[in-house]
Amino acid sequence: MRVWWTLMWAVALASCTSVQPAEDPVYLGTSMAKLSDPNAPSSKGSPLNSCHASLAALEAAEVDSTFERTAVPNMPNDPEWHWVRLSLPLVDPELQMMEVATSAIDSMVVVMACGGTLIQRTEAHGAGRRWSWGRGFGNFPAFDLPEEPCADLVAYVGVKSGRNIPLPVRVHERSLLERWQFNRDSFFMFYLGIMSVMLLHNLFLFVTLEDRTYLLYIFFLIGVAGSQFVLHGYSWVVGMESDSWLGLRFVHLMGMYSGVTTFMFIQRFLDLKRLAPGYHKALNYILWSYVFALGLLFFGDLNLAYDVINLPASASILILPAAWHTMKRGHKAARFLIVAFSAFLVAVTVFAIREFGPFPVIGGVPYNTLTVYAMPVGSIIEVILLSLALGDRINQFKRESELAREEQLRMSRLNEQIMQEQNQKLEERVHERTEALQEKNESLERALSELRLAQDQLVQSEKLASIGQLTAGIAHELNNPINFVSSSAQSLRRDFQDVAEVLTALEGLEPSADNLATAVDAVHALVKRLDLEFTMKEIEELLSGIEDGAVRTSEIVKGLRIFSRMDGDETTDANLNDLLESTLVILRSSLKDEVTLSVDLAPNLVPISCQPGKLNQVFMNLITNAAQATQGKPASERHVRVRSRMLKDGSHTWVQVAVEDDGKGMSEEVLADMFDPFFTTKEVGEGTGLGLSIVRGILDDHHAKLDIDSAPGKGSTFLISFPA
Amino acid sequence: MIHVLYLDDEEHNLTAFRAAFRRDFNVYVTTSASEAERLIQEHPIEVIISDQKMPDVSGVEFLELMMKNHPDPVRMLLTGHADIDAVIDAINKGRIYKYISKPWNEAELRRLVEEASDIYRARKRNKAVSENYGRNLQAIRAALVDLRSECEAHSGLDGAEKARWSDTLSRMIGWIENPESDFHEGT
Repeated sequence: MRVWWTLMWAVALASCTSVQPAEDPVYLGTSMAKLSDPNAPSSKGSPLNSCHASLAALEAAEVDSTFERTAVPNMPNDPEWHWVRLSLPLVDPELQMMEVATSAIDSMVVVMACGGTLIQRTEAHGAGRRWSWGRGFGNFPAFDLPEEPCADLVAYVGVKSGRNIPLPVRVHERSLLERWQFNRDSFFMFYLGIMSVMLLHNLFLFVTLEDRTYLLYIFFLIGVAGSQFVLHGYSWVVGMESDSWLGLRFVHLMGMYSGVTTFMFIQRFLDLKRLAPGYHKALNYILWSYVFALGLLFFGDLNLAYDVINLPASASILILPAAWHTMKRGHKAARFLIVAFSAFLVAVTVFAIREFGPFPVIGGVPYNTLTVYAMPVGSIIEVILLSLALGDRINQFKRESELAREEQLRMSRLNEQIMQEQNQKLEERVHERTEALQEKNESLERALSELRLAQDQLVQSEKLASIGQLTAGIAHELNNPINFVSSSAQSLRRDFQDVAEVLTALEGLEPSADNLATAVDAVHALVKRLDLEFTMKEIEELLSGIEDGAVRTSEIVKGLRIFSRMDGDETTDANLNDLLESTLVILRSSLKDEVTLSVDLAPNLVPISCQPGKLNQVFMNLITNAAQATQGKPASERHVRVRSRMLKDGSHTWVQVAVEDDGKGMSEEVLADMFDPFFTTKEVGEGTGLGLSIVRGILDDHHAKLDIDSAPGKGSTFLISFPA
Repeated sequence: MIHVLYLDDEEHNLTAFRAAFRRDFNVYVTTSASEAERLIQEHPIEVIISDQKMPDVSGVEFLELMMKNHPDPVRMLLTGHADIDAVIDAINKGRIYKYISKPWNEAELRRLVEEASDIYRARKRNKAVSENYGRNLQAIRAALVDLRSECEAHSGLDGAEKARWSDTLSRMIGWIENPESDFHEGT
């Protein structure tokens, strides 16, 4: 750091000495008199307040006695024309030129007279232009002196500007003026170089670190450097050389820009918002005052605007205590700022005293090379120091990030510890929960097995109910034939006794006997008494009844044999018609007094591989359901239809069985739930609700398809398609 | 001969029944309920036997109807299978005398028919006796009333005797009119 400081001062001193001319210029302010119009108490309307003031008027004007004679006099900051009379010593007009070494002038008129005779009148307008004189160019206006030598040459110089005007008038050899201009140019090239380096350096840092402070520094830097260039007459570089509207205001705008960027940068750099909110607020007020100045500049008086701009600039003295305050609060880089701003403030003070005249306490400073260059040099020091401070921010960032990393590490360790504790707690809770879940699981399993048992019992009871229905049906179906067969047999015996009696009587007839006729009559009487004709007819009837009974009994037994496989699981080839018939044998008697049953079985059914007992259960269930669905109507209007048929569908052959009824039908809700176990539409105790669920299971085992067509009031059709 | 009507939708049962009982009873058989009612109207049927399970009308329904239209014949229900609901209905609604299950026992059925017939005839006789008794009682009462007026008009009896006779006769008449009253109680 010390090396930097040393280097800095070396650069500053070198820059000063490099522009130190061989001999300092001589300013002719002491030979100057400010003119005033005796006839006009206010300058408005005076012939002097014009660029066209005639020589006569100028000569007639009085000398302003209040005007203080110094080497470089200062014209007040107002929008009027100011005239001075300058008696020029005897000069060599061939070699010498008159130069007004300032860029503060917007418009200028030089009237030269020799012994009351006008020699030449030169006008120039436009601030900050690259004035052309003779063979060269310069930042400051310069005028050729008259070619004829004159012993009492008088120059009337009229100036007007939007700011105050120092009048450093000098008469020197052209070559010397040109050398000084060259020196100035060299110095500002060097200045530009340093500023560019700083700018690029910080631009790079901005791009790399993405810290807005660097951007604000760059703006600030542009403001500082720009102000110096403008103040030293270089605004022509950016085309602001005319007396155009913008050209006349460029110095003001530059000052404002510089002020605004400086304050914003300081706010940011010192982190005033956080560390010193009071100062931050104060600087904000100052920033707002620039808006006021901007308004004045656009819509009002340039000179007033200049004062308004300078006022907040002088408030930049606030920056020092603000920096001090933040330094006390731990902002280390603030000390850089204090040094940098102190240096700059010294330079500014020098500039201000030089420009605006001596201050009561400090006194005046000479208008010389050192004071002219004080500001740019001060600004260089300021900019470099602040850049160093910003560079130091990187170190601070590093330290801060290291601290942050350490903090992070500490936090992550802490987190790890907490996580471990939490994990342990979590594990304990998971363990507890698992145990609880296991217990629940076990009780659920118990409940499930109980439920399964209950379901098995229900299935069993459903089966028993079917068997009960079966036995009841069979008993009734068998009772009728047994009844009339056995009864007929007894009656037959009696009838046979009658016949036998007649036969015996016939046997007793002897053809040779005398009383044959009487005997035959007796037999006839017997036949008549026994009503043998009726008896013979009755015997026929009884015999056919017995035969019929035998056939029906054997049919029932056959059906029973087929049906009795209900509980068996064996798979065999069976004709579905046989199964349907055996089921109908059992159901017929119980359905007989309830519904009209129509059966339409296709004769050519192919046998299919199935579990006949299970299918009987299916058919019995569906037909019984169909009959029950028709309840509530008169028996003659209740129809159940059972059909079977073969269906060829491409390469597939289906054996279809349909059970139709014209009963009450089913709603969509019932259709959706009908196969659910325990779902029933019957009264409590009338059905287990397992029938259709068992049917579904059996049909699924047979890979059979079940289609149901039903709607409330329309009846239902259950169509089963078995793959053949 | 007992007049028996048997209703069944099974023709063979009718044949067997008639063959079994035609020698003992006057047997009427039919498969139709309306034919059965016609037979009851035309013949002095004493016992009605009906099968329970029939396509058009159940046995209970038929017997219930007969109880209303022809209450005198004794009703019996015959069925192939013990259907408890049918039995309950038969007893409560059809007021049946007996319930018989198929296959029937011929001897037992005969005995039941005869018993039913006895009941029918006893009821009938009872009714006749009861009608006779009432008629006779009225005749006796009329005679007693005559006797009392004759006695009151008789000149050969003194006042006390007349009163005693009249009182006795009046009590006898009162007792005939109201058998609940006490005969010995004086008026």
